[in-house]
Amino acid sequence: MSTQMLFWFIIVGIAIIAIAGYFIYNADKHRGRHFHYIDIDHYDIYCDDDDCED
Amino acid sequence: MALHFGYKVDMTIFPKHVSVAVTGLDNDDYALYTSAIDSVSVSYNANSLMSRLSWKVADGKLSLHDAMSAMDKIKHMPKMSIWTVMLLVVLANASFCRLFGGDIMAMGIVAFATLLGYTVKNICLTNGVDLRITVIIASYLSAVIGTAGYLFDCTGTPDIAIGTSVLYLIPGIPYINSVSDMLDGHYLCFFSRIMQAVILTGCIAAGLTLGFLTMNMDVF
Repeated sequence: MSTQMLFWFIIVGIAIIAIAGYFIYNADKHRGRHFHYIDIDHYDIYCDDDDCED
Repeated sequence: MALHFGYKVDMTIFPKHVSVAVTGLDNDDYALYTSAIDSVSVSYNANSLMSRLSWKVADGKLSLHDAMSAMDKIKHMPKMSIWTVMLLVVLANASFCRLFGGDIMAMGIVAFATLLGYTVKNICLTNGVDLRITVIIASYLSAVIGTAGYLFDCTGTPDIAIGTSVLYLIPGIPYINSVSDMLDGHYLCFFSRIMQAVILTGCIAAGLTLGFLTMNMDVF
């Protein structure tokens, strides 16, 4: 295999991996306009100090 | 449209702004509006709908209120899916290759080069990368992929595959609009648009040349 062919496979391979990586990374982000995580106030739910009544 | 309502319009188009002066024909009414030109994606569908709307208003078939609500509908019309656009761009560029005499393998190479290049272009533009840098990157990638015909000796028309692999990046609309502006006498706008198109064409050439240098191509 010539050097040019190796370069070709490296450049095209990097491009494909980068594009696939971008889409996989962003697939988790785009959940629709109305999506939002529920904010949980952990201080309100858990209490591990002496102020807890129970 | 203005004449239909008894007004005269003088419009000045600047590279980034548009200025509209409205003067009453039968009274002393005068208003001047200046607005920045939004950078929006090209939609021929919206263009033809607006053209049809303007003729309806000019012919008196639509009231001002109805025209405004119709214009609002056009503005909020859903855009074509990015995947549909990508498929059409890939098919169009492969067809260009065929038009210039490329064989089926050359068409395949061009389609692949367009697919990856156009995807990279979309990703870069979505993430706010400068348009000129984006064009250089997309052109470079497409040019490198386009050299496959020479490297793997899989097509009888490798030169056409390379030449047409970056055609999807050519700024055709700024070129057409600049000529239109020149004919209409909007020389400032003509110069602005033609410079933008020439710079983008230079970026395509830079990407193409970098691709050739990387692949050690001696095509000239």
